[in-house]
Amino acid sequence: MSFLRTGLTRTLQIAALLALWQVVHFFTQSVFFTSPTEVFKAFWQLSTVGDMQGITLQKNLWTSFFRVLHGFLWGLATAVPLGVLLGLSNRAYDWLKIVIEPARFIPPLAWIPLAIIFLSGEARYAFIIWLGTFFPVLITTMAGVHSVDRSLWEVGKTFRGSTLQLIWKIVLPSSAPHIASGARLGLGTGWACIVAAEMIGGESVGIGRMIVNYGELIRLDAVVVGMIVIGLLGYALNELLLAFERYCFPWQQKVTL
Amino acid sequence: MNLSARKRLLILLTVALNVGTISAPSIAADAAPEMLKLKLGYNIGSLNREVFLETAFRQGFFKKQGLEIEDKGYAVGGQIVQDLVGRNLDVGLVGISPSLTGVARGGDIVVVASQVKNTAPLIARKSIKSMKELDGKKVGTPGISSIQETMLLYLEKQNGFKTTHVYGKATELVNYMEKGEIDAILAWEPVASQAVAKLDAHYLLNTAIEGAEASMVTMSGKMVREHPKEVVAFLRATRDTQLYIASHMDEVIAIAAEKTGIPADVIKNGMTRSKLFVLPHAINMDSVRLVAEIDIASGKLPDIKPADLDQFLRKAIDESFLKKSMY
Amino acid sequence: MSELVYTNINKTFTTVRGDTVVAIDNINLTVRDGSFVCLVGKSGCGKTTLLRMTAGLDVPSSGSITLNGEPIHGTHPKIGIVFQEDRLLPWRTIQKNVEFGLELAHVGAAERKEKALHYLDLVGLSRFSEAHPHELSGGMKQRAAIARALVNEPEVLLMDEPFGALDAQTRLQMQEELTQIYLRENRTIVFVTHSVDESVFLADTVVVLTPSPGKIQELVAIDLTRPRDRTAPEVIRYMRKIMAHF
Repeated sequence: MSFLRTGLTRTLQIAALLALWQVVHFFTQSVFFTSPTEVFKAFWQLSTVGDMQGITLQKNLWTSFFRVLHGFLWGLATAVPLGVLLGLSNRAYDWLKIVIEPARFIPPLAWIPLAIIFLSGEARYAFIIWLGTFFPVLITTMAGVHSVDRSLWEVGKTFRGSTLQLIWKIVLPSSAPHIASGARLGLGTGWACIVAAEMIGGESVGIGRMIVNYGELIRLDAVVVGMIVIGLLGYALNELLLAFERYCFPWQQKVTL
Repeated sequence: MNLSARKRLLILLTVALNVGTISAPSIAADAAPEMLKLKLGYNIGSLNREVFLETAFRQGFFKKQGLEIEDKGYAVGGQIVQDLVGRNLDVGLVGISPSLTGVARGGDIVVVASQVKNTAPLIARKSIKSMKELDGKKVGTPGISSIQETMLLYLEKQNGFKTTHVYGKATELVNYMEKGEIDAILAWEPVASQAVAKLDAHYLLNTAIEGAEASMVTMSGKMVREHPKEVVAFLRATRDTQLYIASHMDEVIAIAAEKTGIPADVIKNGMTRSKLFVLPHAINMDSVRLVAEIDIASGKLPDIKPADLDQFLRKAIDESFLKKSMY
Repeated sequence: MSELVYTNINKTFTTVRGDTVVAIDNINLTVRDGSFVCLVGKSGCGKTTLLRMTAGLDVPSSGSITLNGEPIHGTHPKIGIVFQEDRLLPWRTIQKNVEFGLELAHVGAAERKEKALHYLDLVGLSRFSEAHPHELSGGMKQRAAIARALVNEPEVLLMDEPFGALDAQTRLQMQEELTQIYLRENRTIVFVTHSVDESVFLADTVVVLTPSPGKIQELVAIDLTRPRDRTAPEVIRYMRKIMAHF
């Protein structure tokens, strides 16, 4: 029953916000201030007919989504093993620190000129998204490994487990919630990068590309549609992964972010 | 230093920092007296900076008119118009298509003169012998808002072919073509000339429509209303620049070659094919009308009924300043 | 014969500031096979340190610990330990937790399962074999930890204040259950606690330790049948005897 009530409250809140927006638009009458009705019309147009090249909103969105997924999976595949290794071996970390530490502060977008020159096609996007995912996941994985409860490790020792056994049976399962959390954040950063990544150009499909195109044409209604859709999908993905985490690691008390 | 002294120092620093940043703009804004400072936007890689503005700066044509120019480069016309509409620019050397779009969307901007015509060359891989063969292929343009995009749509309609349009910075289009991501380019010179020099490509067209409008002098509405004299002065400066370029071609090309790193003959080839910077600044209204029609059909401009089109164009274009500038 | 002998055990620590602290000063003790020994004392008397050294998690500064005549170097397969925190692996079921030691020793799956279920039954957790630790109460989790230690069939079971984190009621109950387990299994148990009444209830011998430095003051033999009546006058007498040292 309370679920319905929350749903109703939320709907009313959104409706009130939209009404306010419409009123402000009416009063400002600025070329820069679009209105909910215009946004909705644009949304309808983009979903049914498509953009100026006839590509629908859905196609643009899913194209971008799969690009992000691609880069994200690569990010996981590279960052998690490396993060575990660096978390376990202080020596390895000291060694690689000189490369990793400065590198992770370079924003993914700064890599764009390099991406254009050295890569082509989908690889460019995968690379930028990979950058956005790799470093957050690497750092959280390392932190996860470091945060393994020493007392659990001791239990393993008293049962005379070898170091390898203990890593496999205690460290990894123990760090799993942290890695999952880091992966979720990494996906978030990757998703946030897609607009900028698609601004690279060299493509005609993609939600980021769509936003840039409509921005050039001062079609702010369509731009807002793109922004809302990106925000909603990012939110949905986050919630999905959170639910997944809660299911896999029921013993963890989490801060949901 | 004890805690309270440290706190005081921190507060002092914070206040000083804030005061400094607030007052900074006013300090920088002190231009020379009587000179009007204008913020100008141009398309990167279009030679508007390296040939047009460079010549004007070196010869002091703007200074002579009492104008001080602060120039900014943009990837494509649509972005120049964004800033013009948003009052971050006073004047743009920007395509007719994005300019019209800006006006149509309610932007307070006005087109006052033609700046550069043509510069819509179509180049393709040597294996593509005619436009019909472009059907189903990928063509790169500087952006959806550009006049070059409009010209491509025109050519497709006229010649019965359809392509996938790929957008990118003009300076990167050659790179994409080299990688095989696109098969042809329709972008401002000297991009086409560079592509032909660097890759196995050739010109299908020197320019889409001979004598068609491309880059315009577009001013913010504020500029036109509050500084009409300076608008005229600006156009005088641009005419002086053009005359100088026309009579000192090799000199300006050499300077541009040095600035861009593009070989002089490549620049010359592009400039010659598009007759850049040498055609008069009077606006070719037939061309403008054609561009408007194409853009309405493609959706770049909102639906304007034919009867209202003339009214729209009168709102968007004002040649009175140009007339005044002709001495 | 699982006789545990401590000979001239000394342990010194160097603090962060560089001072030397003598934690344990020349402790000698023999734990007979099958006996239940409690180490009782206030904090700082070295009782936990002694236990950890026996488990192989720490080393004496000098002296030796032997099991059946063999010196102990590090962890020993026949010595198990239960900590104050249950230290169960949260991602495993109770059964899988209990199997853990056997798993590390590469025992086969069928045998592991059989043994685990046997000991879960012993501690009364058969119904919860498929549950996860976070679903169990504190007392139940400790029982699982005990089962986990027992499943390896250790000769000596070390217990470091295993009921310290539980509420009073559960604690009393666990003491009774441990007594039952002891009577059934008859393993050697070395049990650390700071609770005098707990030690008298459980042990054959109570080793009274005083801190700074840790020294054995007295060995009190508890000559009573199990299970013991906590309120019986003899029990109270033993408690008084021990408490005289504090």
